[in-house]
Amino acid sequence: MIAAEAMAKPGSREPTNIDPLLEPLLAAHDAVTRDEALGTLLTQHADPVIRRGLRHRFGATQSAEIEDIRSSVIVRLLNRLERVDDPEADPIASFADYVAMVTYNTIDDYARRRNPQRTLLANRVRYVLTHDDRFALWRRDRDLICGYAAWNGQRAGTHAFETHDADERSLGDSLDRAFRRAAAPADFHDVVQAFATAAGLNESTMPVTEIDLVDATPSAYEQLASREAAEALWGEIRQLPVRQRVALLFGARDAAGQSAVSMFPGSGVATIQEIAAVVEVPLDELVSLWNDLPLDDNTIAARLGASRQQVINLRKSARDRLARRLRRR
Amino acid sequence: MLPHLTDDEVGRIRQRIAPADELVRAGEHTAACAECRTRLHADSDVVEAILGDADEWHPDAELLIAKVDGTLDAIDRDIVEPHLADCMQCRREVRDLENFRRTLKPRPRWQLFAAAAAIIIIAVLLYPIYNRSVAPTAAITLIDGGRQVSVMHDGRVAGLALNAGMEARLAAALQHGALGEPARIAALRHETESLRGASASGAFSPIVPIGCVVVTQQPTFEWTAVPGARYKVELFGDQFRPVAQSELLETNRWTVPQPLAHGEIYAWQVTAYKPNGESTMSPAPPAPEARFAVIDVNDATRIDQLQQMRPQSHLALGVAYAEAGAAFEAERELEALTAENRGAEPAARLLRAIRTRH
Repeated sequence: MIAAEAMAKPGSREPTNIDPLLEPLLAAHDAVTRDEALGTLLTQHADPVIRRGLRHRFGATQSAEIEDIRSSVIVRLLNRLERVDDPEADPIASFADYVAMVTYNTIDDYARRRNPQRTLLANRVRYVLTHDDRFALWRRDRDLICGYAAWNGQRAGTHAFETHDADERSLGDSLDRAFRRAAAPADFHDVVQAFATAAGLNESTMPVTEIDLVDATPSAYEQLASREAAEALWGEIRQLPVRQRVALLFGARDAAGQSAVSMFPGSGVATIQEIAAVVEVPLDELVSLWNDLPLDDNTIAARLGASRQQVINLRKSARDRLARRLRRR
Repeated sequence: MLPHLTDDEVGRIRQRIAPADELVRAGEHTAACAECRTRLHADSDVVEAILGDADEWHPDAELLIAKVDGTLDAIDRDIVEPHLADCMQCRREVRDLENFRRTLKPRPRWQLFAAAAAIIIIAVLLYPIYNRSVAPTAAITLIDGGRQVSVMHDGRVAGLALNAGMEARLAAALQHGALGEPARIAALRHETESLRGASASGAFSPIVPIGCVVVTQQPTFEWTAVPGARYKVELFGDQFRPVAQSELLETNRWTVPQPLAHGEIYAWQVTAYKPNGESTMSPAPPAPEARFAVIDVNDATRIDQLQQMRPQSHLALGVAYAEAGAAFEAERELEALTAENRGAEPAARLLRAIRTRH
């Protein structure tokens, strides 16, 4: 559990367009009231949404695995709520929608690792829905909906989506028959679930395996002296594609919201000249924007000629790669 | 060495308000001064600040599909491609989508239908005037079981009496080297990759069936022999439910006595009891389970019908076995097809495609 004290951030400003449910958390100025606000959010508002999402995907089954997923969702929510007043983060306009999205993403991440067959099938179904001109895939509120192209934009039907002929050689025709029977759009996850069931890929029966424990094992780099870890990190940053380096270094901020890149010269791991070389900007230019670091994602996007989402993905991809590579040391 | 950092400098650096020239000097000093690095607490902070709460991250399905379609822009390529170099899971998903994409036959849009209809009407009207011999020409022609089989330019297959779906898949196979494979069998094959071939080292391990589809309901199990040993085989269904086990065996082969269920996935283990009283089981953790699937009942029926054809079509059987996930049988048929068509690239390409599954 994240310590409530860690959430107090000097100088933060209150974001606008935020779900009123989060106001008690924003208004809390001490650890006790923050803990209370967090507790209310998680138990009264988040938990029912999480459970509904898990029931939707796994049915009424109870297992240690499903409880693990629920815990992972809560950890992700806590990480995000820690930055609830971060002006750079997208405001949470609907807490319920946000919890639902995190729940589905967490389930997808687990499914990817635990049931790769189902993920391959989901990819294939998505491929057909987005490449066969009979069909379409669209977002409606928090849901991903699919059906005939003529239905694009409609809500999902209320009847359970079923298929009994998941012919992988002709997924398009199988989808065609299933949509004709359903006579209404369907939630994408329900469609994949129906095809997975028809193909005998039942995710709720997957056993817990050691794969989930891998991430909990302390890596070699975590046991390195901090100096060595910082040097190893810098060495790996230099191996990243230049756009990833820019998105990571210009945007990275520490827990207090200050630039993380300014810590490298202080640590003696990399000089400003070396940082300028790594992000491929002239030294003068880097010095002139030094006190403006960290840059917000829109500014970085403009520098790279990218979208804001691409900047976020560049940074996430970079962090994931650094973490993987440092773990292997 | 430059003088130690003052307390004010340390404070400014830790608050990230130090001017650039001060940072340059501090960097030069701390590179050689552990004491000032400790005062800055910089080393321990920087890794945490850069990595943050780095969750495991994967490109979403839309990016993977764009990768397969070749439509990633330069920035998305910088996001996806370095990740693929590090992530076996995403590489597997891309490879599966690439294979799947090759099996799809594009659906013509209505305009193309209209254009095609117009062309057909004009061709019919002009037919008596021009050449009475106008007819679809063959794009690919092969000898298959002694008969001539052609894929015409209009996508039809001449020389084999097959339904339209099978014709379309044969045409796609010959024209693009595309052989379908059920996703769950592809995943099964990848999961057991490290186990298959382990027997080549001579170590005690299962040989067949592993990571494949067996076309019989009573498969024969084989494993590497241990001198003087006797063996026991155990077979499990889903959730490690015991299904069958052998008596103590003198040979390194065993055929399961009862029929297994079509479409089910099974795992098996073999234990060697050595003359000195020791026993060894294989596979054992951390090796993957020796899993295989029994052919799906629809695939079995389809293949049975194709086997009734006289003469048999190596092409049709090869494609049907490949689509069922039965790589060994598919390879056998495609080898026969290649032998009948020395130097013919479409046949050789199919054989190469199926051999990548071993």
